[in-house]
Amino acid sequence: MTRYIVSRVTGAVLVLAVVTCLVFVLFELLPGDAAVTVLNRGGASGAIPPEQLAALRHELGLDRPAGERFLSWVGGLLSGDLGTSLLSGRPVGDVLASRIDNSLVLALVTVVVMLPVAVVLGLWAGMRVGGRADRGLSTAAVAIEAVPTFVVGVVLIAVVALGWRLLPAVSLVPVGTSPLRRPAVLVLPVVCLVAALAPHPIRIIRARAAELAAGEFVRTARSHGVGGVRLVSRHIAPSAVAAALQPMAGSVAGLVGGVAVVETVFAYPGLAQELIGAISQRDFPIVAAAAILIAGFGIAVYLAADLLALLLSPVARRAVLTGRR
Amino acid sequence: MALAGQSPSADKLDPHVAGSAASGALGKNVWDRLVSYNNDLTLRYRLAEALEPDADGTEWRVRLRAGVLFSDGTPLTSRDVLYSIRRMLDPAKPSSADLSMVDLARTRAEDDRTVVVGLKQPLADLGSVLAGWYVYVVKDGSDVFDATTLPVGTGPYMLKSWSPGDRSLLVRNPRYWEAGLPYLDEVEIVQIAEPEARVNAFLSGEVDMIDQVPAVRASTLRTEPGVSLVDAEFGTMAALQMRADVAPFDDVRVRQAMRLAVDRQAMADTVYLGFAELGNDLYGLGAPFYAADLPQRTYDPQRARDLLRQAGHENLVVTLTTADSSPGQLDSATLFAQQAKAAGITVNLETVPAANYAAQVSGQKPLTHNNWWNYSLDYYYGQTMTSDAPGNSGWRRPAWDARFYQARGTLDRQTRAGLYADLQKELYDEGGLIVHNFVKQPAAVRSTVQGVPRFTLGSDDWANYRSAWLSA
Repeated sequence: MTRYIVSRVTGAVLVLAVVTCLVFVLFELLPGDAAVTVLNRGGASGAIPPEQLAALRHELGLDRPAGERFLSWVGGLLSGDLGTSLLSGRPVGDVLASRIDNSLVLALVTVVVMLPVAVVLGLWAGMRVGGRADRGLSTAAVAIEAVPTFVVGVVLIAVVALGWRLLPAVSLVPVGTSPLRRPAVLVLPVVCLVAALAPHPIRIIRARAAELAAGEFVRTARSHGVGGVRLVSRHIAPSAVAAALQPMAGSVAGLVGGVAVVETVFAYPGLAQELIGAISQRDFPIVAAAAILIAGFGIAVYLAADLLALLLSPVARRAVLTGRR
Repeated sequence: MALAGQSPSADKLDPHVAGSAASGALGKNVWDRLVSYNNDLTLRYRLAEALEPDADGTEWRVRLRAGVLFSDGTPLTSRDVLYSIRRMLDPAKPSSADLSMVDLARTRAEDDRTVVVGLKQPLADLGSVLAGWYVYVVKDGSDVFDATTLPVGTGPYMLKSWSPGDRSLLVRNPRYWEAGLPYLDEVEIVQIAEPEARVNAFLSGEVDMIDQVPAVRASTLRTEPGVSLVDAEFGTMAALQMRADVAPFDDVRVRQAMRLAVDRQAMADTVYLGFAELGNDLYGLGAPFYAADLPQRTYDPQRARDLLRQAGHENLVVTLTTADSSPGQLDSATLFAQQAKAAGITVNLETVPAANYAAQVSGQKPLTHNNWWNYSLDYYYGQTMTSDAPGNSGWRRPAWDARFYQARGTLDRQTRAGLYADLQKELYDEGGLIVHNFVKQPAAVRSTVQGVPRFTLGSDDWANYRSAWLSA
C-alpha cells in the first residue's frame, strides 16, 4: 500500500514537472511579450518606438535566451521564490493569494453541493430504470450537459438576477473579504457549475446502479429479505459510487475550465480570471504559478479519488495489494 | 462607478504609466493635468492658467494657477511640474507619455508659478501634447505609487484605498481648488473588464454608473426606467487601415475603390445601432482643424469596380486581419466583407487574438482595423503619418511631411488652418484610412446620480466625477 502511494505521488510530481515545461514552451510560442503589453497605449492604437521596446525588454530580462530564462525561473521556484509580475513588479504570491482563496471557496462549495446531488439522483434513477422518473431525469441530465456553461450562466443572470431580482447578477467580492461573508454571490455561480458538472456522474452512477440492481448478488440479497434503503446503501451505493469516482474526479478537475467561464460571466475575482488576464498580458511568472497551482489541484483530486476508490471498493483494493494493477 | 480595468498583476497606480480606463478615471480624480481636452479637443486650462509660446514656438511659458494645494496642504509650485516632466522623460522609468519633443536642458522654473518648457522643434500647440492621457502633475519627489504608499494629488478626490485589479475608494479632497467641488463624499471605482458583466452589475444595483456600454445593451437601457444614458459628444474612430506600401494597396486606385466599397450608413445602423456618426476617411471628427467641409463619401460599388478594372485588379481578393478587441469590430468586419462583394472584392477574414491587437497587428498587416482614441491632429499625424513615425502604415511622402512640420510649427492660426486643410485633402483623396464611423459608447447612470457631464473618450469630462451629486 505504502509503495503504491509513494509511486503515485512520484508520478504526480513528474506530471507537474512536465506541466511546468509545457507551460513554458507554449508560452514561448505566443506572439508578443510583456514589454509590448506595458508599452501598449491603453485604448489608443499602437506605435511603440523600437528603442523604448528594446530597453524595456532588457530591463525585464526578456532579451535573454529562452533556456536561460527558464532555468533562472525554475531555480527561483525550487528555492520557493515565485518571482514578481513583469507588468507591475508585485510579488506573484501577493497577487494570487486572495484569488486562490476565492477560487477554492467556489470549487469546494460546488463539490459539496455536487457530490450528494449526483449520488442521490444517480441511485434514484438507477433503481427505477426505464420508469417515467428515470427517463425524465436522464433526458434532463443529457440536455443540461449539452448546454454550454456560459449559456447557463447568462440565462440564470437574465432570469433569476435581473428578472426576479432574487440574487446578484455579478459576484463582486472586494479583495480581502471572503465570499462566504456574502453567500448570495456564490449561489448562481455554484448552480451554474453543478449544472455543468453533475450530469456526467449522475449518468454513470445510474448505469452502474441499474446494472447492479439486475445482478446476481442483489437478487440473492433480495431473496434474503434485504431491501429498500439498506439494500441501496449497503450493497449498491458503494460499488456504484466507486465506479463514478473517476468520472467525478474528472468533473472536479474539470471545474477548472468551468470556473474560468463562470468567473468571467459573473465577474468573480478568482484564479482563472487572473490566469486569463495574465496570459493576454504575457506575464509569465503569474501564468506559470497559476497553471502549476491548477495542475496541482487536478492531480491532487485524481489521486484522492483513486485512494477513495480503494477504500470503497474491495475489488480495487485487492487488485492493488496483490500488485495486479 | 464601474469601468474596464486591468488584472491585479498588471494594474498600476502610477499615473505616468497606467493606461486602463479605470486607471484613467482614478488618475484624473486624484491628480490633474496642466491642461486637458474639452470634448471638442480644444484646451481647457486646469493647473495651468496660461500657456504662451515665444516668437517661434520653441519655448513655451507655462503659468500655474494660484492657490492650488496638494491634498496634504503643500502648495503646487513649478518644482512639482518640473519634477513631473523629468520623471516622464526618465529613460529608467519608461512612461507612456509622449514628451519626446521636450528639451530638458532648456526646461526650467522661472519662479514659483512659472515654468519654461524648451522644445527641440517649433510647436504651435504644446497644449495638445500636455493634455495627453499620461501627462499628470505629481508632487515633487513622489516616486513610489502603491497600496501602502498612497499618493497625494491636486485632484477633487483623495485616494483612501487601492486594491489592484479590483477597486479603489476615493474620498472628497477638502483642499480642492475649484470652490464648492466636489459634491460627493466618496466615490468607489470598481473594475469589471467584461462589458456584459459591467451592464449586469449596473442593472442589479451593484454600481450606479458604468462606462463604455456596448451598443446593443445601450439601446435597451435607453428605455429602462430609472436609468439615463450619458452620450459621448464625439465618437471614437472605427476604421480600416490599408498599408499604402503593400500590394495591392500601393496602387492609389485600389485604395480609392476600397473606400467606395463600404456602406457607412448600413454599418452605423446594423453594427452600432445608431450610436455612431459617419466617418469620411479622415481622423479626428470634432477636433480643431478637422476638414468637415469635404463631401461625404458614399457607397458606390459600381465606381469601385471601374477603378479596380483600370488598376488591373478585377475580382480583387484581400485579407482583413481582425479581432474582437473593440466593441462591434468583428461585426463590422463581417459586414464589410458582404458589402464589398457588390464591388467584386472578396474580403477574407483572418481572426487573431484580441490581446495586443492594437500594438502588434493594427497598421502592420496589409489590411487591419484602426481605433485610435481622440487626440489632436498634431498628435495623431506625428505618431502615425509622417515617414518616420513609429506607427507609420506605409504613407511616406516627403512633401506631405514637410507641410505637416510647417503646420505644426506655425503659430498663425489662419495659416495653420490652411495647411491642415491641404494635408487632409491629400489624405482624403489618396490616403490609406477607411474611416467608416465614429462610434459613441455611452455611459449609463442611475437617475439618482446627477451632474454627470457629456464627454468624449479621453476628454476632461470623461470620467469626471467632481460635479456629480446624488438626488434623493
